[in-house]
Amino acid sequence: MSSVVFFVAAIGVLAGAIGVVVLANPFYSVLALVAHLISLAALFLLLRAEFVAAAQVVVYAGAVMVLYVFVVAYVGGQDQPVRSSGPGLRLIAALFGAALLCELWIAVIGSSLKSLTEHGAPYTPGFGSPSQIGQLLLTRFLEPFEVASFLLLVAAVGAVILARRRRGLGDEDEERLPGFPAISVAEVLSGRVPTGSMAEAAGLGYEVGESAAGTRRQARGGW
Amino acid sequence: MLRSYLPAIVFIALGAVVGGTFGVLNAVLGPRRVIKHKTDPYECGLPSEVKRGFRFGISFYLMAMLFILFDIEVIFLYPIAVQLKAFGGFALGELIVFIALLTVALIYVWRRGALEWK
Repeated sequence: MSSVVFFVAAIGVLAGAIGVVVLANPFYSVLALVAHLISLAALFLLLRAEFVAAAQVVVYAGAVMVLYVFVVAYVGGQDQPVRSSGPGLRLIAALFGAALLCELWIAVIGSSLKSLTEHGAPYTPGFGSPSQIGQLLLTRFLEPFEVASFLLLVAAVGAVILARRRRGLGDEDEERLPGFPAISVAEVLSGRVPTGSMAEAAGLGYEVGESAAGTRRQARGGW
Repeated sequence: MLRSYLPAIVFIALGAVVGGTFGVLNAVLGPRRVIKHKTDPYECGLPSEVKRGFRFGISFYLMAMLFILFDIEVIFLYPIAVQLKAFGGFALGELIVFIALLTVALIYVWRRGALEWK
């Protein structure tokens, strides 16, 4: 029974991965990636990593794929098919593909083949459950856990800065952006933010109607 | 181990069979009368202004990105919450540090006006 599930999930994983590369329409590529990730979650479930399987579906197949869809929609869909252009790009692609293949073969020959005749790591009850993962996060992986929150902080700042830069090059506080965000902790705490709509929302004292403020905001290109 | 997931597997298989059966039956048995208006994306209302090369705004990307960040935060909270009784104040302190850093991110994003739809 479990080998049946394994083969169904493995075929799904491989078909999804091939579909991502082969399909010309980027939207279909994203859908193939969703199929790939859900099959991967089934494989995690077979390995008794239940929490990881659930997180795989919730975070990757759910949220990250939505992000990919938006990125594809932003970059533009069918009018610009993602076909390779130029011999140089092809050469580099082949080079990187070969390097990845070498790496995978080293991994397969080095470790995976040896475990074919064995039974694998022993299973202890509770393995893969949220409680055991929580215990590990609080003992052995405490620093990575805390660093992860810092990483998320950096990601949030980066996303906002990138989106601002991408949004309007004519933005008046654009020149302050490269380097570091032009906002200090004191400014944040006191609510005096020298940009965009928040300053307007706080009311910088010009007596304009709602519609006038709206058009001005649009003309400036937002945050 | 798979035995405990048997109901879920049966559920998924049954759902796939029922959905697939109706889809196939519809394609095989259903009448096909194509008229022009049926093939339009909108059957009523204003004609759509969206063209093929239409691009979404960057706002969608930003919202999705921020959603993922706080989604991951929630995923991290579950295992710690389960262990809260066993570890007590230590787990609580770690969690507070974790959330405080992300609160800084939230305040930054909020003060930058990125939570407002443009």
